[in-house]
Amino acid sequence: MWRLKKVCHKAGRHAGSQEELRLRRREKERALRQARRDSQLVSKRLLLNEDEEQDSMEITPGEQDVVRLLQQLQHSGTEKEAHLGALSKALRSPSAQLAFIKLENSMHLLVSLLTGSDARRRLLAVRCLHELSHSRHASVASAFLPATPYLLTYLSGQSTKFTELCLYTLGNVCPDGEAVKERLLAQGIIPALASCMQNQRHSLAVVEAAGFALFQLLQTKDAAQKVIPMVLASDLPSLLLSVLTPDPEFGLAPAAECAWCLHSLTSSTEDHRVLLAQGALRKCSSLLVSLGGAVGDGNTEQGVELLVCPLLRCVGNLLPSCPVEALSAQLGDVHLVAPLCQLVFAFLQPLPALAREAAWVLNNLTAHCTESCAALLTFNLVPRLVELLPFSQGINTMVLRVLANVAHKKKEFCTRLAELGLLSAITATLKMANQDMVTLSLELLFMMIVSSPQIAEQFVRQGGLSVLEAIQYNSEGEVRRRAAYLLEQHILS
Amino acid sequence: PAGSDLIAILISLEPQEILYRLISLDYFIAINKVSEFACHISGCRAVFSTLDEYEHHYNSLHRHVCCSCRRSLPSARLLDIHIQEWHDSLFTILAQKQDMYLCLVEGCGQKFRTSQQRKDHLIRVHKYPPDFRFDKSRKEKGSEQKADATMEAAGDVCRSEGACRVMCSIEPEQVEEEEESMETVYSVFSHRVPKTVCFGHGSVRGFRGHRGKRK
Repeated sequence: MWRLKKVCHKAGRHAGSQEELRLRRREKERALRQARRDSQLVSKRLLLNEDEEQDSMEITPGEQDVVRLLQQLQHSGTEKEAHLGALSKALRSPSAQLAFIKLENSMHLLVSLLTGSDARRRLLAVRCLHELSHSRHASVASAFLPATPYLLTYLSGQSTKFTELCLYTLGNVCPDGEAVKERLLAQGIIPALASCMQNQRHSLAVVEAAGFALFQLLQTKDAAQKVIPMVLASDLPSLLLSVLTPDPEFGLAPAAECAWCLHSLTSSTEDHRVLLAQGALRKCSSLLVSLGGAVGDGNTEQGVELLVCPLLRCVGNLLPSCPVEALSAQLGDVHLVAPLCQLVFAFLQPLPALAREAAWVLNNLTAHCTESCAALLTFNLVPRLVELLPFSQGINTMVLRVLANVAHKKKEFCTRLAELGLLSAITATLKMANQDMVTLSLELLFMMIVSSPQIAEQFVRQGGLSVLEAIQYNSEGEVRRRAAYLLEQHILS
Repeated sequence: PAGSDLIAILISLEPQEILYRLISLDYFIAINKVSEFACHISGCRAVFSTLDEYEHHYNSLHRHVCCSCRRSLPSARLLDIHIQEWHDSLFTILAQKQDMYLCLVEGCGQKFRTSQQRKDHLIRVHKYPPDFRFDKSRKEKGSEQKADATMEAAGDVCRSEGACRVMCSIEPEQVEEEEESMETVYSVFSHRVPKTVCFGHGSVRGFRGHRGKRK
């Protein structure tokens, strides 16, 4: 029983945590899908004009205005631009959106302006389409179908503002139903996004918009089968990796969007060969190192967690897929252990969930790689990790797992851990109410005791016997049996 | 204007070409003072009040222009395809024997014997509309060439064409109507290499090299 546990400890540890997280994620996805069916959680973006403010209090016109504006557009000659501008404002209101698409030839008119010979009218027409893309009604989404081939064609153009609007519009309509998504895939949205990102990578606003559109596409139903293989086969992975480093002036939004895309790619599929071959592990890790340092020093900009979170998840998911022999080649000279600990400590109070994710990555790293365990000891990070053991919200169980990974690797590590006072910490955790903590503590204790008889003696000296005896009153039979086994076979013998 | 100093304003910076527009210093000072300024491509009557507007106008309409017929296409790729299919006699010859018409959707890569077959493919497989505006067949070229001769400015010409006619420079010569002879057959990719940095004539690329005067 114990042996089985020990042998699969390495695989079990991170698989255990991964399996848990996978289950939790699956449950979360189920809930999200349910909510999405109620159209609560589809995210859309609105790109405001530079001269508009975020919350303008002007009265939004109603449906009658839309009818009138369309008629004016159809008949006027020179004032089309004024009417188009008014129409785009009118289309902010959901009822006007619905009314507009029901009018005969309304989309046809917008599409002809979109593809006409007047650049200004093209821009105003795409703005109207962008407003329409905010609607949550299925009928509006299907009205978009005539415009999609043109929006995609224009992604290869060179006008940055126009391209941005096309991208946000496409991103907004992606989640609106199967018909639109199938149409976009058939019309080549993936190669179009790749060449757009390639040609306009100097414009960070366009890169951010392309990242958003790709992310929306990756969230659609059955993306793992229908979208992700094509994305992995394209240039998009290397393009996404190349824009990960945030620009100090522009901000980290483009890097964050691309990091979330990479997260979608790593978490939806088990096959990470393409991403590993592109150097994703090294790139994400080195970025985490610099972010960890910055967060630890306290000089980061607002929203940095939006970049840290997907990076953590990418690294955490990629680590188990990388064969141990290749790990040092993949990571190069990137030393992740200290920055990960920095992230755990930095986010502990403000964002405990993110701290737990950083601890999870540390767990995957230490499960996989002996050097990282040695580094934890060398950099004297263990005492600080031990301080985290009282914290709940999944952080203490993760930290125990990390320490168990270290203990599992070598007997010398157990001795070092004992010198650092881990035994007294375990004595405390064995008394916790959390069953996971008790179970993990018993496993860690077992490994330490088995590694050397001095440790068993030390444990007894520190009053560990009574703690183990008290576990005989634990509600879980399995826990009682293990404590009894430990007591009888290894301490009292 | 003779006698005024010329300065170059940077229009765009991209890996393949760096485009400068030579304008007179007087004009530069003038456009920075007034609230409105005009597109500097001869024959284009567009007017703007901000540099952003000009950038959008220029990039949308003057960026990917066919040197031979002055058509403006929305992207470099569609321009390449247009030049091949409309102005390359080697293409015409090869097309008699093999599938040369490339699918317009990037990443598809399929080729077809006729433009009609390609159009059917676009409709059937890629769900394109039958009246996709950037896929006009060459048959319609004849009637439009006459329009060239009258030198109409941009705003008036294009209605339902889609592939916009934007005049790039005032030329004393007209667009020739004769078929391209074998001697002027260039390699298919020669138009990719700009012969010179283009000063003041719009970003035209085309199968033919020099057109009209170059300063």
